[in-house]
Amino acid sequence: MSTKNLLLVEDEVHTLRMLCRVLMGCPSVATVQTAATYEQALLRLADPSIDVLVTDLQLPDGSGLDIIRQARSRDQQMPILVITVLGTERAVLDAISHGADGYLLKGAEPQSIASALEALLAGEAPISPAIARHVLMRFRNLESDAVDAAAAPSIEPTTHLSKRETEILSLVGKGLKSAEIAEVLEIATHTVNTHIRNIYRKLEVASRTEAVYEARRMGLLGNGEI
Amino acid sequence: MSTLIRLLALVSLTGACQPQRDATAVVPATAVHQMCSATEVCAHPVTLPHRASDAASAQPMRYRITVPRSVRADPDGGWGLVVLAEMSVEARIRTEALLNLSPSSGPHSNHCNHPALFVARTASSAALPTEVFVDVFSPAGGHGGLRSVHVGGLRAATAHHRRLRGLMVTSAEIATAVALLSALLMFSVWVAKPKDRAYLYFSMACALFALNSLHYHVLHPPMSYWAWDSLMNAAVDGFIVSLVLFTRALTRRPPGRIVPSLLVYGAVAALLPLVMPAQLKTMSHDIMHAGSLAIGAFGVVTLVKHRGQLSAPSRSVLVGAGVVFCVVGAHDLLRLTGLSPGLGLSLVPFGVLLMVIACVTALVGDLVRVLKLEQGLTATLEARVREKTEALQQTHQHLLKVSQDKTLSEERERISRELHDGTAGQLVTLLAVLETEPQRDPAAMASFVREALDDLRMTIQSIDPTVASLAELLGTLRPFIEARVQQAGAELRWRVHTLDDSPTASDVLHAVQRILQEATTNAVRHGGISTLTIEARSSQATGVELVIQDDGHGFDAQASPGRGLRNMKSRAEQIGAQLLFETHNGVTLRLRLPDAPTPDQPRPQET
Repeated sequence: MSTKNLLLVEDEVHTLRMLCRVLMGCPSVATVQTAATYEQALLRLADPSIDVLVTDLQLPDGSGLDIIRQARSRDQQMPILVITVLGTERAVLDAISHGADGYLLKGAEPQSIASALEALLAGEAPISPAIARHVLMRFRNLESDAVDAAAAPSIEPTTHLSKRETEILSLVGKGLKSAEIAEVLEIATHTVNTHIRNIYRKLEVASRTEAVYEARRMGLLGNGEI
Repeated sequence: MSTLIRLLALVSLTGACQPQRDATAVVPATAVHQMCSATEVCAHPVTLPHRASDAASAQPMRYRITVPRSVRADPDGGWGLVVLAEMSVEARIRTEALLNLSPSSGPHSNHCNHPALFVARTASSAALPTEVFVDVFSPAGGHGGLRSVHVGGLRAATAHHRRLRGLMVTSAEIATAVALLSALLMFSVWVAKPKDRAYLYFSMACALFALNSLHYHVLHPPMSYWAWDSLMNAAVDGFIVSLVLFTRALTRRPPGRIVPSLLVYGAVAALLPLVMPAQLKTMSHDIMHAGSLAIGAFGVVTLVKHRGQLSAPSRSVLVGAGVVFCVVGAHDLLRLTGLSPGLGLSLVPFGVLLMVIACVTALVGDLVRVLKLEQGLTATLEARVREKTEALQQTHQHLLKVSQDKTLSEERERISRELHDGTAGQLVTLLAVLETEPQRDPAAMASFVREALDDLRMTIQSIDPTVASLAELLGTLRPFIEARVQQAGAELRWRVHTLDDSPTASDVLHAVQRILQEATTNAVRHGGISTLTIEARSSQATGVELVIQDDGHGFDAQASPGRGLRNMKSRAEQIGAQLLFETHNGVTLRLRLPDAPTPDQPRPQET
C-alpha cells in the first residue's frame, strides 16, 4: 500500500506534538504536516499532495467542520478523521455529517490511535455503539420530519436507511465489532464496512438536505435554487 | 264590603237610632243633606246608619228625608231622587208629598248598590216637597237599609244617577275582572312552583273576592236569599283569611298549625250561618266578620313584624297599598258612621283593587328576584368552578415542576458522586504520586491518566439519555470492559446480539453497570483468566439473564470475595434482581433481571 501524506490540525501544542509522534510511527504514513490555526490549515490543504486529514474541531480562528467540508469538496475520496476528547456523539456526528470518516480519541493509547488510522486507511469504517445509536435516532427524526413536510415540495428525495443498514447499526449499538457483525449476519467483513461508510454518506447527504430544507423553510433561499 | 262597613258601624257607633218595628212610627233621619240648589246635586249623600236586626219583619223601614229649601226643580218641573240602598234590600219608595211620585225604573225595587232613580214632576218650579218618605222593604226578612239619597233637579239627578251607577257598577266590574285575572295568573304560577304557597293563597283570595263581587252583578240569585247571603258573606271571610295566609307565606313564616286552623275557620265561617236559625243568622255573620277582621289584624301584624323577609320593592309596595287601604277603610268608616260625608261613594272596592294589584306586584317582584338570584348563583358557581380549575392546573404545573426539579437534582447528585468517586479521586491520587515519587516511570503515569480518562468517558457515556435499553448499555460498556480485559492479557467474548432493545428502567441499568464493573474488576484482579465471556439473553422462562463467566482460578472463598460480592448482591436486591454465584472452572455470575415493568415505574419494595 502506498504511504500517505497526512495533514494534522490541532491548536494545543503538546497534544499536537504527541499526536504527531504517534502518527509518524504508523507504517502507512509518509509525512505529517501540521497546522495550528484555521488559516494555516486552509493554506496547507491547498497542497495537492495531502492524502489524509486529521483535524481537531475547535480552533482559535474557526471551526474544524469547515475544514472538513472544504477538504471533502476538494477530494471526495480523502480519508478524514476528527480528533475528539471524549468521543461524544454530537461532535462526531456533526463531523461525519460534514464529511468525516471517523474519529480518534485524543487520550487513547498511542497503539490504538495508530491502529485506528491503519484500519481507516485499510478501508474500515470506525463506528462506536454510541454513534450507531445516535445515527439511528437522527434518521428516525429525519423520517418523521419528512412525513411532516410531505405537503411541501421536496428538494431532494429524503434519505432512508435500508433494512440491512438498520440491522447493522443495531448490532453495533449492542457492542459488536465489524468482524462479529459479519459473523452474525453471515456476510463479509468488508461488506459490513461498506455498509457503514454508506451510512455515513447518507448521513452527510441527509444533513445537507436538512440544512437546505431548513434554509428554504426560513426563507433564505428562493425556490429552485440549491 | 257593605257588611264590613256595617260591622264597623256596629262597633263604632253609639247612640245610633234603632229602627223601630212600628210601621207607623217615623224614623227621624239622623243626617240631613247639605244645601243643594236645583241644578246641583248633593255632593254629600245622606248617610243613614241603621241596621235591621229583625229578619222576620215584613214591615218596611221608613226614612224621612228632609228636602232643603234650596233644592229646586228643573224649569219644566222635573226633579229626581237617587236612592242607594244596601244589599239584599228591596227599596220601595213612597213619598208622601203634595205630588205624586213614581219611580222611573220599573218596579220599585232596586238591588243592592245599584242606585235607583225616581223621578217626579211638580206642576211648576214651585218648591219641592219639604219631606219625602222612603220606605225600605226586605220581603225575605233580610237586613239592609238606605245608604244614601240624593235630591235635585231632574237633569242633575239623572246625570248624578248615571255617574253613580257608572262608578259603582263599573268599578265593581273592573275589580271583579282584575281579581279573576289575578287568581288565574297566580294559580298558574303556583302550579309551576308548588313549593311557594303564597301564590296559592293569593289566588284563593282573588277568587273569593271575585265571588263576593257577584252580588253586584247577579240581580236574581239562583238560590234562596239566605243561602246567597251566606255565600257572599262567607266569600268575604274567606277573602280575609286567604289574605292572612298569603301574608304569612310571603313573609316565609312556617305553616305550622296556623294554616290548618285558619282553613278550618274559613269553613266554619262559611257553613255556620247556614245552620243557624233565621234570627241568629245575621248575628252569626257579624261574629264571623268580627273574627275575620281580628285575623286580618293578626295578618297585618305578621306582615309588619316580619317585613324584613320581603324584598325591598315588594315591601314598599305592599306597605303602601296597606296604608292606602287603611285610609280607604277609615274613609268608608267615617262615611258609614256619619262623622264625615267623605267622597260620594264607598272607596273600599278601589282599596281592595289596589291591594290586589299591590299583592300581584309583590309576588311578581318576588318571582323576578328569585329568578335573578338563580342566575346570579349560576354565574357565581361557574366562576368558582373556573377558579378551582385554574388553581388545580396551577397546582398540577407546580407539582410537575417540583418533580422535574427533584429528578434533575437527583441526577446531578449522581453525576457529582460518580465524578467524585471516579475521576476526582484518580486525579488526586495521580497528583500524590507525582509529588511523592517523581521518579516513577512516565509510561506508568501515562497509563494511570489514561485510566482516569477512560473512567470519565464511561461516566459521561453512561448518563447519555439515549441509553434506554440493556442492550444499548452493554454496547456502551464493551470498549471499557474490553480495554481492562486486554490489559490483563485476556480476551473478551461478547455474546449480546440476541438481546432485544426493549427499554429498561434507569435505576436497573445503573445497577447492572455497577455489577458488571465490579465483576470485571474481580475477574481481572484475581488473575489467571484467559477469557471473559459476557452473555446476555432473554427467554420466556427466565426473563432477561446476564452471564459473566471467566476461566480463572475462581474465588478463594475465604480471602476477599466478601465485600465485592456483597456489594453486587445488595445492588441486585435493590432492583429486585437475582444474583447467582457459581465457582467451578472459574467464576460464573448469573444476574436474572426482574420481569420488566415499564421503565421508571415505581418498583415494588422487596423486604
